[in-house]
Amino acid sequence: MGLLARRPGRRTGGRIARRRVLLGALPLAALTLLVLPQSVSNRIRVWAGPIFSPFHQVTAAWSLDIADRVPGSAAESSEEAARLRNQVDTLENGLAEAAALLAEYDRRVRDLAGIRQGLDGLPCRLVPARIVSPEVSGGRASARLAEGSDKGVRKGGAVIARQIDRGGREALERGEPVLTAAGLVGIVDEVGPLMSTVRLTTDPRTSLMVQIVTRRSGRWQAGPEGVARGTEDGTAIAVQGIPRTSDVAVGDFVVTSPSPESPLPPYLIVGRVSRCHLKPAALFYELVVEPRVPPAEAREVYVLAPDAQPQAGTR
Amino acid sequence: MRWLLLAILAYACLVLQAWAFSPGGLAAQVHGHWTAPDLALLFGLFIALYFEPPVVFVTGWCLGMASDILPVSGKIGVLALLFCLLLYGVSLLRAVIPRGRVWVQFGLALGIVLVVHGVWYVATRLLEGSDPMVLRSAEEALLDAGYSAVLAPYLFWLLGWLRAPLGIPSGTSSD
Repeated sequence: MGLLARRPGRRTGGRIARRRVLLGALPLAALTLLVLPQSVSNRIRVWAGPIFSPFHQVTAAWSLDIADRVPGSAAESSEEAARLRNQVDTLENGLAEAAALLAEYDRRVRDLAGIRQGLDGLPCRLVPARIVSPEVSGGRASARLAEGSDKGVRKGGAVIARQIDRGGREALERGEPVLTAAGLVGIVDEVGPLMSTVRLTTDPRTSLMVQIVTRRSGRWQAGPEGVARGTEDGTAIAVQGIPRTSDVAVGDFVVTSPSPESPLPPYLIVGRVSRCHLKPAALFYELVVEPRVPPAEAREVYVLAPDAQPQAGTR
Repeated sequence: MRWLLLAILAYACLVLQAWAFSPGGLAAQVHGHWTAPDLALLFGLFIALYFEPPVVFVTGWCLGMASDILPVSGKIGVLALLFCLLLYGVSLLRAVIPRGRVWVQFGLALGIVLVVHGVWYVATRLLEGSDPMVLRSAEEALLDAGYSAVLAPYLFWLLGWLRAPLGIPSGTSSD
């Protein structure tokens, strides 16, 4: 019996060692799972998850369909959805229109600010106007064509006079300049109660006192003064009276003259020199100026009218 | 028999937690968080109060691993580590804890669930690479702890009826 006696110390020691190994292995296993990629965790969940939720498939069928609680039929819901879609479309269209109008107002404000800055404190008011297309002005384009050159029509189809949607109601007067932020467009010719005729700068009847402004080596310089008239074909402006000794070149600016004799405000841009020709025996240049604002493109304009109450300290 | 019963009770707690205390069931949504009691941790706490530390360590690890598998996202292993370490610590102190008192059971459950869930939420957010949101994690852990602490005395009372099959001697010290 003694030979078969137990050795409690060795068995107990082995049990303790196994316990320690187990206690050490479990946290290591958890840490190992922690550092493995998420895909491993997901795969374990997919495999082992249903073990702990055996009733999920059963109870899922008991849940109420939320659609059963919604009052009304499917047809009513689709009609309501169509109505809401139409409403959204209408609102989006309104929003786009408002955005376009806002952009237009912003542009006008910038134009006005630019023109004001160029007028350098001149006591005046700017009357916004729109050049009316011949169709809108009641078919008068055909009548004008029949009436001939004294009404602003030239051979070759060049338009040298336009109508604007402002008139005596806005206290416009004959001879007031019509311009855009880019430059001079023309002169108010005839004033009606609601609409007025504008004689463009390319009209041969238009005569402006102008000055050449040059830029040489980065420096702006005022050049000689002359008289600008529309060419015969009504497509450009010819400047006369520029002496042959003047420094003039293609690209130079032509502005309204600052001379007190000029009826227009000074330094309104008329155009740029597009052709500069000097005949051998001529005393003056033959200058052709391209209008700053092409007549066919002018739409939104401003009429420069005198201020009814000029402010003190301004010219 | 004892181990089998432990396994059955643990499985029952996990199934009950996954089924009854899921969103839409007995879970409550508070401030955008689905609050539910941690029945597995409460069962582990009960085991920690009456069993030896090595048993508690293994049981806690198993319960934590199962709790890691139940959610739909996150890494596996965080709760296993937290369960086994914290419950092991409670088991070491079981001799001095008046485990029979309701307020002790309530406070213990509140504290253990608060710590485990707080660390778990922060660790999960960090492991996913997002902001730890410590305060939000603490809020969520507090809600879970509150819900768990309310149910703890009832669960302990129910498990108390199984003392004999579980081999827990009645009238032990600190009861």
